[in-house]
Amino acid sequence: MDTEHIFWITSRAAGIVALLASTAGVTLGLLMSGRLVRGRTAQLRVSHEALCLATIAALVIHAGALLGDSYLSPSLADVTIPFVSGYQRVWTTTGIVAGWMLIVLGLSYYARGKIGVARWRTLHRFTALAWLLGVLHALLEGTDAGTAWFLIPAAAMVLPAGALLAQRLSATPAPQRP
Amino acid sequence: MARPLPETTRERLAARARRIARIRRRVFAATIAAFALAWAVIAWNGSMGATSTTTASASATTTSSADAATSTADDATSTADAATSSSDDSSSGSSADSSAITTAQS
Repeated sequence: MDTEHIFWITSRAAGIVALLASTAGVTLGLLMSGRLVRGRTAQLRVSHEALCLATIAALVIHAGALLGDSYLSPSLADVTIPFVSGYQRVWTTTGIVAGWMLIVLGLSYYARGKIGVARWRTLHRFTALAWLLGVLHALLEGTDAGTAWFLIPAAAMVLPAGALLAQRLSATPAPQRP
Repeated sequence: MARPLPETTRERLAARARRIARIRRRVFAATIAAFALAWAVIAWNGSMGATSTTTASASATTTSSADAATSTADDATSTADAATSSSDDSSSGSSADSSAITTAQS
């Protein structure tokens, strides 16, 4: 294998990990918030947080490794600022927006004291939107999106999460207490 | 001054901390394993992305204009074959072909 491809492969692998980890994190979050699991909530919360941190690390590697790719050779602005890259501009921008949203919303957990818990909870709901944008980015721009080895495990994780999200969004809100 | 915690409470807190650390280690280990697996599959798969047809057309053009050139005939011919199979229909070279190579990993 050519060493020139190391950064490219690393970026793709990290992108896949970011997709899988964020999907698992969203799934756990929806299971907990929908009260679909009883007990073990503390363990699930720890897993949810760890998955979030793993997603952030994978996203940083996904973008950072691209900077070392000698073929595309994107600039820092290309991989961090929406609409700068000329390479598949719409879906690259979708990925950048999703990445920043996941990072900011994920790390906002540690500032929820300052933000205010109620406001943080409202903000935290946008994580599902960020995840959806990430899924779109992976499916519509990802180099491996057409391969069975990627699609089968990705579908096995994304479809249940999507079903949980759809169920959550369609659920009738509980009546407010007086 | 704060009173020291009872032994049982301390043990319970320590057990909880151990449980949390174990969960974190498992999640991070699974993440690293997934990364290594994905890396290996991509490398083994060998595909570095969709080869740009413009790259192929540039090669094909080189071939068609240099049929008699024996120094590059072998390599260029094989590239031309690949270009043909990738449904490239531009046999006439133009400067736009090579300038458009911006889209994919070769």
